[in-house]
Amino acid sequence: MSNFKHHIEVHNLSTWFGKKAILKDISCYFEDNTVTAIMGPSGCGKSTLLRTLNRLNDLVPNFRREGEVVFRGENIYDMGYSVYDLRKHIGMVFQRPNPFPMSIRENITYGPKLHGVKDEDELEKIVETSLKKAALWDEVQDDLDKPAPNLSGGQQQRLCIARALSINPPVLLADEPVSALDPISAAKIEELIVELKKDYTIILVTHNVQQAFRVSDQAAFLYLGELVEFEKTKRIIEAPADERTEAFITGRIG
Amino acid sequence: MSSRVGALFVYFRTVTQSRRHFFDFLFKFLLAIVILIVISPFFLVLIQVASIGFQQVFGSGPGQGLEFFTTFPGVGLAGGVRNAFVGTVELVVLAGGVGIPLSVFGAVYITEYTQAGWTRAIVEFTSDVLAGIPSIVFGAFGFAFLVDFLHLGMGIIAGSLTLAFMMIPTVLRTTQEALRAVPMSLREASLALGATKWSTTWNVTLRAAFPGLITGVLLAIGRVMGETAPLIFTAGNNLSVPTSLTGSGSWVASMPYTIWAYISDPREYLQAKAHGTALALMIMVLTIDVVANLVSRKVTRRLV
Amino acid sequence: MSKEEIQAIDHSESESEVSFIHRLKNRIVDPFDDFLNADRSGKTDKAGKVFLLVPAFASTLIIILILAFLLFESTPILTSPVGGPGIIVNPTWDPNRNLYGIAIFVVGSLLCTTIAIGIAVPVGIGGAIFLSEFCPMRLRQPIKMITEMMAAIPSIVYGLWAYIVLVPYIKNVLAPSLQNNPLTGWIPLFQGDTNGLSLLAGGVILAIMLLPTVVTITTDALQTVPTSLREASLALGATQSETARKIVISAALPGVGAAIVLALGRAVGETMAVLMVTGNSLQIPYTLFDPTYVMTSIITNQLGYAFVFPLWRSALFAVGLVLMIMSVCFTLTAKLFIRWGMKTRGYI
Repeated sequence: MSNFKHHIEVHNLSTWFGKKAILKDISCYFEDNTVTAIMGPSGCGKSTLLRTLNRLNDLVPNFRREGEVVFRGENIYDMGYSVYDLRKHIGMVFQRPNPFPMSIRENITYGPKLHGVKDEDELEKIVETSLKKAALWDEVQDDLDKPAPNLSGGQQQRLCIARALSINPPVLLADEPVSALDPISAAKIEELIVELKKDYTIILVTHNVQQAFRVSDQAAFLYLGELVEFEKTKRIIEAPADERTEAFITGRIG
Repeated sequence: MSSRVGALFVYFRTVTQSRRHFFDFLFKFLLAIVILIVISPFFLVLIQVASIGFQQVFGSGPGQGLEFFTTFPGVGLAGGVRNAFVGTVELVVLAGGVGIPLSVFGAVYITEYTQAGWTRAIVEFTSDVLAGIPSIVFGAFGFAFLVDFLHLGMGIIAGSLTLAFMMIPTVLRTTQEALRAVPMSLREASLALGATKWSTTWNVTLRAAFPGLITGVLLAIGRVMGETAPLIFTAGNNLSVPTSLTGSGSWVASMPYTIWAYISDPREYLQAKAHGTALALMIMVLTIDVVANLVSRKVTRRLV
Repeated sequence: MSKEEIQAIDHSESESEVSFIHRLKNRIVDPFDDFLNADRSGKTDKAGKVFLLVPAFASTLIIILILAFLLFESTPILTSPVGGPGIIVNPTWDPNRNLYGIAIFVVGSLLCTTIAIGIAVPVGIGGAIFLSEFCPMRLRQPIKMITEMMAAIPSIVYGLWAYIVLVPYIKNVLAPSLQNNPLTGWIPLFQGDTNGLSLLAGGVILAIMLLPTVVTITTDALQTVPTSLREASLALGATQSETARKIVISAALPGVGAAIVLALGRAVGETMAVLMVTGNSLQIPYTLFDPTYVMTSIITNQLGYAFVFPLWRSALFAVGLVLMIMSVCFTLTAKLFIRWGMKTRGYI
């Protein structure tokens, strides 16, 4: 099983909030340089699964978990595992754009500074490359010291992507990154995700089948906390094996 | 047990594995000490007041226990603080009788009958300013305006009116918050049935906002109950209960004033009585505060 | 002046007159007509609106009255040859010799407030960060409740505690130990004989009374910071304390600012507790153990027998006027902080 090829493997993962079971015995893996879509109707636990991968659920009161999440051959839930180092290697983009109330530059340099980058020139380089990767550089290169919350929604979300890329994580988690945006900004960010696949492993939560079809290589379909199907996206959408998957894809549940 | 020790060991290894981990731990640890410092005065004050006052309020000697509240000050150990107890109750009831309707009506007007604009801004701003004015300024104002200018003289009327002025901002602002929290659809449902705005406001909106209103009223009462400074020049002092509404017969004692008068007195039994009065006052004020909290938490629970 | 111009002026004047009458009609006559034409329930509605208008402006009226009376009462001293606005920098207060300088009280108030704020703000903000960011769920509610109860305890009770416990402690333990310790004994701030009634006692009891205000308001401000900002910071590999210090505090800065200013206002206006422990001596304190006299105390102590002497009484009301102006300024500043927060952060 563990031939370190996959960046993240999930083994028999179950989670609860209080008494309520959210994820039930899930096993899957996420390969290098692919986009994996986690699909499902709202409330099926897709965000919970995503947030379990970088241990962001740890702080939620009453959260309980069984099973393993293996990253580079180590179970991230092992006692003594440094959660800060883990998150250095797994970036995250959220559902709604959430820039820090600081300037654009400070938003980007926040992460690198935390991890000990002090050199001004290097930080400057990081700002430029991150913004370029997030296709935002041309729009904001003259306004780097302006407050980030003044940007438009689509620009804010690309800034958040740039912020996540600033510490150069091999894995990028995206939790419905375009659902709060207008269609044009959404299309831009979808393009960006396909572009970023070259260098990053991307795990994308979405409830939009078309979007999963457009950007992802493999897909997982979650329904009421169960992993119903885990397959190549093309296969899952063109020939769903389970009737629940089919019902979701054809729009009967969602 | 051994797994506990193991977990502790692993935790310390985690904490010390890097400078950042260690600072994180240290920061939280220091703040935990800080919060202990923050809440410690509560217990220090409570212990001091209760250690001497308990005997007065719950004991069975002369002027203690029930007698502490039911007898007027006598010679030496005898007698209680009935004058102060009754005085505070009377002052608060009168102040509430004036202040509460005034502020509730005001809050209803600015939330239900005005749009956001100058009127509302002025009322909100002046209430906030009023809330920030030092209590001794209220006392001086009460003295200059009520006692002197209106010729009310010192006594229960001037004292309770001064306290009523102090209640207004708290009650008005909390009532306003409570009214704002009532969903628009509730009002619309009533208006759609043909009810007038007037009856909708009193029968539907205010009823829905009632718990929040009660909380505001209780908080305001708890606050003015412990005020000393506004009463010194407006209410006077009295060894008995007030017998008239004007003249020196209307002078009235209050618990905070009595604490002040007794504690500055070198006679030891008076200091004990000051502690007893303080304990009784604390119990009253804290009970009101707890009840206010319970009521308002119900509000949020119901609205969410 | 040409004919057209005259006409134009004429025209504009009549226009404005028309619009004024029109507005008057709109404001007063039309509602009145509406009222008369309305059916019974309509009449209740309209009468009710007028009935409620008066209480709505009660607080405005009281503010105006307070300002008017403070100004009116302090006019004699502000216009008198022995007084004038200069009393605020004049340090000699001696009513027997018609000297009414209030500088001592202003300085005393400011020093007391400085000590109180210096203790209460860092401690209170630290406590608020713990309460909002790190506190275990089970402890959060009880601690919040205790801080709210601390805010409810009457100031006279704090005064009693400070008078009975804190003052003797300063006299018997703190002052001797600081003065006899070779490490701290030479520091000028710690010099002087003391009976415990001192600037330090006033500052400390004030700090204790401010703590619940600072903690409660700051906690509320920290709680309004969206969770997603904390998560974004944590997802970048920040520790919880780094997130609290670098993201949460800066996002909640306007609210924290408002908390500090409101605490300042309370500190300057606090009366009973400070009165009981500062010693009320007419001098400017040079060390922490010197007694002092604050603005609220002089009014409380002297208005009772000064009111028959016009100038003396007037000088005390002038102190009240200074207090009032300060408190209005603090409220205004707090409001500005909150507006700034609305503008720059979008929440709070």
